[in-house]
Amino acid sequence: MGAVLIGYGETSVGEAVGCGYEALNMWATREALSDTGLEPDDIDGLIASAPFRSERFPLPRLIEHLGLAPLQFAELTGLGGASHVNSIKRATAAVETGRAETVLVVAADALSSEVGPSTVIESLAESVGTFEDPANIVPSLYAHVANWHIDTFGTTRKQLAEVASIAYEHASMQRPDRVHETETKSADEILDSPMISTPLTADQCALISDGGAAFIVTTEANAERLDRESRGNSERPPVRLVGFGAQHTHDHLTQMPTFGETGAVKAGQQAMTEADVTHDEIDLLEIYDCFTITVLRIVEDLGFCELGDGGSLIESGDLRLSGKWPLNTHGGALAQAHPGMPSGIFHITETIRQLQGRAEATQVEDASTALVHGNGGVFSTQAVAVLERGDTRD
Amino acid sequence: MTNRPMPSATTDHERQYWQRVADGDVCIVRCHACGSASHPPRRYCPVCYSDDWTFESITGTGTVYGHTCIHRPTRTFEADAPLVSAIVTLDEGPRLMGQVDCDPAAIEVGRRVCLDTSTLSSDDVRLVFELQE
Ligand SMILES: [Zn+2]
Repeated sequence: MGAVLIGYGETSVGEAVGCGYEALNMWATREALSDTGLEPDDIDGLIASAPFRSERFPLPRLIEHLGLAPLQFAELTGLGGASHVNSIKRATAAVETGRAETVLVVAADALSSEVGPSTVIESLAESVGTFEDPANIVPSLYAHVANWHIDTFGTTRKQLAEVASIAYEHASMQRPDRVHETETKSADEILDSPMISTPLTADQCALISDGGAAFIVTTEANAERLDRESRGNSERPPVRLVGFGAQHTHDHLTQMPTFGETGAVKAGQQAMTEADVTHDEIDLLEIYDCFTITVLRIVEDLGFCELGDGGSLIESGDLRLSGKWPLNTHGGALAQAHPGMPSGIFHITETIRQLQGRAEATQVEDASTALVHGNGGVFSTQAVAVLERGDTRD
Repeated sequence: MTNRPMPSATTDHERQYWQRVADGDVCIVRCHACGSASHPPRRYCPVCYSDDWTFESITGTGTVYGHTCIHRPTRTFEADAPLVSAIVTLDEGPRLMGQVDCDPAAIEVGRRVCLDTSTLSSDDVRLVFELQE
């Protein structure tokens, strides 16, 4: 039985949305149920993300809170920013093998108001471990790779900043409750924000936000039935996973085999081969953007340009809304929202919006094929999915 | 400079590693079963799973692979900002991360560096490299 993504839900996002981890997860779930015309009883599978604050048994606690018991399939994610792209595969596989009929994938946290920026920064630094001190704030780790790129290929700081400028522009076009940052910023303004760790300024680092999102995977038969019952004809086509790949390569940045090849090379090739699509056939790119350098490296490793040419690709305008491969049309973790572990899920809900033709001001014309990417750790885990509008193939 | 005390190691080999660093003898792990060099130290060789390995002193020379100047370090090292950090490919093969005592503008990928062991003690196990000519 084929599995499809049928709809999504999002909470408001920002510095203090007004409720904590459990309620944010309920909020995102409520929006996803209402979007798809499903009732809580229709959900028999769940993939969720643990809160940033430690907790012994987060999954049963959340299942009880969401009122979803009994479930026959429930899992927690654990791959950082690569979690949710990986969850697309886990959820569709669960439906296709009959482990569940309808899976809710949800991730939300109050990273800004419940945890707070200084605790986030300090405790993430601790988790880096004793062997990579004193460069132990997470931005400084990515910054080592950014300077490697600058020194090796002549990439400029302004080219890196342009990644954030694109994100802020796309965020500014969204409804305001959907984004943490609402104003555009030029590359020069991005460069003028406080220096965190050269060459990364504050605006080139992911935000610290409250918020979350959810999406629902079910059988094609259910999708057709729901479509008939609630919406008439297929104005809202289902979204199909047509290719997937993942690679796990290291934990410590010093143990990364080479800065010149992340796991995204193989993960991307695997996903695009399985989907049987070429780069020219991709209509939009949703690339995990914890830092500007992440995007720059990943577009290279996914083959949208050669290694070393990421700066030129970013500068070319091809990644803006009007370009060949619009990038992070919702604004990404740099400008839309970054509630910690849940942040990568917005790249997916935006992809669903785009492929269902519901992306409002940032709608990519005739978007039918999208590539969505997740990055966990410090380039440690790479996950790539190719998603298609359900009516594009028979 | 803020001292970096010995981390509270959770395993024997980590304790041994930090004791060696405190004594000015920075080491990598050399596996006798497969010959591979690795870091950080683990009970079993990550290549062949053998526990037949010993610590091997490094010469301390290597090449800068990645670098950054940290303007906003963690609270503990706030007073040391800005501080230069580098990932160094040791001449023995493995990579280490450490601080580099230099002008932030002077460091580049490919620069040769040498570990300065003179400041290492049980009160301060921070690895500090110096740029070579
Ligand atoms: Zn071995």
